[in-house]
Amino acid sequence: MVRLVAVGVLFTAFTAFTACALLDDGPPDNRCTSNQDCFRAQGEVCNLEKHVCELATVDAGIDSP
Amino acid sequence: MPRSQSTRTQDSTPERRSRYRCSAMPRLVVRWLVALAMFAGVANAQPSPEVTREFQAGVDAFRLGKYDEARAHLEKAKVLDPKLAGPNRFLAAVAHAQGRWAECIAAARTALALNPVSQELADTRKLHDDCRTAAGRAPYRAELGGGSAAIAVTSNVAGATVKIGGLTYGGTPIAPRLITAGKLAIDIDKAGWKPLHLEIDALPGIVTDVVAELEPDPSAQQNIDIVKRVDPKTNGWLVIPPSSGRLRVDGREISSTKDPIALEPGTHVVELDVERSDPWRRRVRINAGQKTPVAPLFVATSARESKERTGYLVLGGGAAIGAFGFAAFLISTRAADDAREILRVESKRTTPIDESLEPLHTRADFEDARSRATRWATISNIAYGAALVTAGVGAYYIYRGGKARTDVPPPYAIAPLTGGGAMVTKAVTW
Repeated sequence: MVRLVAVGVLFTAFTAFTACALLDDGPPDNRCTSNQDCFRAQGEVCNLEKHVCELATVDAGIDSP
Repeated sequence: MPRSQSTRTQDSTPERRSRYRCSAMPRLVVRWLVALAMFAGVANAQPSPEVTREFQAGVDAFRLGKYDEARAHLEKAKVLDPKLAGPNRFLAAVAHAQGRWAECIAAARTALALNPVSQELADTRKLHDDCRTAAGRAPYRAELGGGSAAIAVTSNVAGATVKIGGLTYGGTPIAPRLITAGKLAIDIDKAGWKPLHLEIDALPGIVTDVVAELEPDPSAQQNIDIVKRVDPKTNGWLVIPPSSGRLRVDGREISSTKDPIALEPGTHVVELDVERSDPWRRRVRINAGQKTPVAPLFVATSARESKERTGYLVLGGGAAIGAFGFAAFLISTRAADDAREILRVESKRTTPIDESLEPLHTRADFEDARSRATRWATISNIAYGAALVTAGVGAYYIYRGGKARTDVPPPYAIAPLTGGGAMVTKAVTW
């Protein structure tokens, strides 16, 4: 009887822990859909083609000196 | 009659009255009047105080497990009032508890005949059937309805023709078959033997066994030679290999295992004890006239205990791995929370950057937190899987190394059956 109870407790604990792990949200996504998703204060903008945040680069025009 | 210990009986027996002493008085009176009206033909006379005393003493002794004492009291009650069903029913229960199957069958049958409307009818029929089965008699496979009966005919001469009510039913032995309950006229005859006429009462709900003993017909002795005579067999034999240790059958110690041990037909619990090995316990079915050999397979106690210990160690290892898995899950959760916080703060931060409110975290910090969360989540999942497998292996070892339970009936030993067949039941090796 004691054995059964011990095995039952172990199994319950194991199931609970596993359930916690499986139901956990996990880390946030690093993809973006707009500039709001990026670190704008650090100069990041969302590349809407690749859906990743990138540092904004100064676009040098052909007429620039 | 285990169930009857906790259920009320409606027989017109002293047992009923004794149980009702503590119940409400008006209900008692009403029930008594109803019972007396219903069972006037069965119990038209109130049992004397002496009968009541003996019966109650028998019931009490039975419930205390003092079977011999119970039997003595119940026999007295039966002699004092032969028309009471209760003493017979409890005598059957006592015989059942003591493994005296023939007496159990006879007593249960008498109880059923004396009070065919008892509310203990179902239990008494079950008791009768249990004792028949334990006695090695063929059971009736289907359900017997309220008014239906069954009959089984055996004789000392195989193939004797059986006629019931003038209709031929076949040759002996006749397995239990459905028949109308009531008085039946049975004629059994066989060439070379004197015909036999029997009058029996087939009781509803149970199998009535008819055992016919035919006598040789002196005028046709020449026929006897070609008839296979079946010797009346009352016992079977248990054959145990010599030097198998201390032997107990149904709790009684048997001094020698050299010769076959004569036992009553039915199921017996055989126990063998050998040094440094676990006791070997099996149920063995003994058939009349047959030798039943059993081959005990002993399990070394030290090896079994070693296996059990290994099982506990492995199970403990599984638990440790599971705990590590949970710790890894907590680390993963923490890292995921960090990543979530970095994203929340940095995506809302405005220029110019003010680190006095919250230290600055770069995209690299965010990716590092994400990476940590993913890595530890993977480790956690692997650990959980490993813990599950390890715990399973440990549980298997514990199961294999566990001591055989002694609080439940042991498994059946494999034993040959009549006709060369084999009965294979669950044979567990521990």
